[in-house]
Amino acid sequence: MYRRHEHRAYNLALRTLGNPWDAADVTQEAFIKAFRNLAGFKGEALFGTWLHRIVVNASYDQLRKQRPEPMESEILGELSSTSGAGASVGSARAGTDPAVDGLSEPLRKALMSLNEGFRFAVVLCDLLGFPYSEAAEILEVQEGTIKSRIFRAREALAVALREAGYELPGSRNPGAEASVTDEGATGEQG
Amino acid sequence: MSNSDDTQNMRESMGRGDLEGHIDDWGNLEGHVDDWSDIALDYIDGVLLPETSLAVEEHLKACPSCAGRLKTQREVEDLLQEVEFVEPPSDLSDRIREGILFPTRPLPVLSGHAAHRSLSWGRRLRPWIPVTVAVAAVLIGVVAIGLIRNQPGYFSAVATSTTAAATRFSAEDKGSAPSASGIGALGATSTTAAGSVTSAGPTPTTVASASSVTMVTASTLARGSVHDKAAIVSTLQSTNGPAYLALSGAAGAGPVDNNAPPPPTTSTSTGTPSDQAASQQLEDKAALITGLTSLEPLPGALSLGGPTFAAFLRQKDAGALIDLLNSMGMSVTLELTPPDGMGDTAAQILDRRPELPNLASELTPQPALNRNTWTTSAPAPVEQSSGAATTLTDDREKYVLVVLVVTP
Repeated sequence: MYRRHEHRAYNLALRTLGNPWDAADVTQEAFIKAFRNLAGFKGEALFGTWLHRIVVNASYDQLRKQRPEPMESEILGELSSTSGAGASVGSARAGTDPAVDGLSEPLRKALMSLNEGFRFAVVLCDLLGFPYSEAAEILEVQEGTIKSRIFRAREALAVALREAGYELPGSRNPGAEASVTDEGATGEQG
Repeated sequence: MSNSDDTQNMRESMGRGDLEGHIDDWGNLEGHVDDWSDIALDYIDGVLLPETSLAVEEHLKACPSCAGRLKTQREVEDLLQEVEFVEPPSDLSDRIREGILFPTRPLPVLSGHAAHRSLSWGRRLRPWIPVTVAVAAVLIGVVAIGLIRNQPGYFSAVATSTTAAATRFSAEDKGSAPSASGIGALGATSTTAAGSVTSAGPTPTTVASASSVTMVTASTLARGSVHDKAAIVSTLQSTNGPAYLALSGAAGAGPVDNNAPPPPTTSTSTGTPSDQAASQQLEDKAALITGLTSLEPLPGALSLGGPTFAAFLRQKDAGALIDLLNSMGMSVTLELTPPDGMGDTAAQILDRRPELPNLASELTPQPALNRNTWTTSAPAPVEQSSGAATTLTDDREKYVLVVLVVTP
């Protein structure tokens, strides 16, 4: 079970949490939880889907733990009115070693700046190669929602990368940059 | 390894391009790409029906803005798909296996990489500060009250309450120190919490453990048995034996740490099904001991109230043995006399000491599942016995006779 899924499970946690230490902890927790709950796996989904849903839930729990405590968030609220969960996570682990992480710093920062729901979608489909339908099952949302999130997440990543000096030739529309930090917002018309 | 091929293969199996709701009366796509982003993604992936794909291309020819945004989509997708998978840490599979095999051991999640986590470590530290402060406050309070009220009778009452706090006694001790029951109860609460954080972080661990050991030592003197690890190890390394280790909590589920006070000793009589389950759990624990140490249980006739093992333990491995037993969810109590009413059976075990194996452990090269590998060796020849009948000396290593009894 571990050998078959270890790479994707670990990389899912790594790309959504942004650092290898939490990723290892979360992957460990998810596999142990999956093993202990094997009897509860009814076969309604693919085993890999079920397992990755556990990883996603463990990652969400980890992100919740990392959120600033009330006192800190009050201070942060004054410093930045747009500090979402992703922003706090990104800043909390600024010292991640790129050699361990395997991502360029601009790309890592851009990913971590995404709203969690968008980040999970783009990590599952674009980084890990899950089909939209399976990503939708893992995240327990509609396939259309996944596609919409990915579309907007890619646009926001392009903007963030360009701001960091990373050249994406041909990306002529800088719109939609704010749309992924608020799920209710929509990008501008094309 | 690039994952783009995988992605494409997986997506091509799906099919696509329902234009319903997206086309106007002229067969053109309505609105812009935000209105049909799902179709746009399928167009990029090349999995649209031909007529849908054609409609998208017609729109893009007439709308440079949407064309530019789709180009950006492609470029970001390509960039992301070129990101290679990162190898998981080499010890991750061992950590998972250990977590599965030792469900009662606290997950290393909390302590795994504490050294790397300056910021989150600080955050995790914070919840334990109240516990640490509470333990310190109780200790300071006990000492201060003792100094201020310099009356012999009062001081002994405080000492009794410290014992109660340390050992989390229930009924029998609550009655013995009525004047200090408040202190005792507070101490018990704080100590319980302190015991449970020993793997959470360096600073609170040290403080909490030190408090626990101090307090348990007080209880040790009162009860004639030894609960905390340091005292057990010290006793095992100095005694001439035999030493009886009562392994309790076999039916419990929580992690056990002999640096923390032992669990309450109250027992309630249970019905037959529970008895059977408890008996099964005792046997499971005994099987685990056999699996991890190679020790075989003594015959039932030599049982001291539960599955019983006896061996000559290499004294320098005493700490490793207590760690092993703790990791199996059992708390260890040391007695230097046989359990009540078991003197005759214990004597029979001692009579068979020429048959008992030697038990020793070696550090296992890491990474590995266990820190120590345990081995039993053939009984030492009788002539190697030292003057004391229950210790052996072999190659300058000293062995002491230990009797392990698995109890509920």
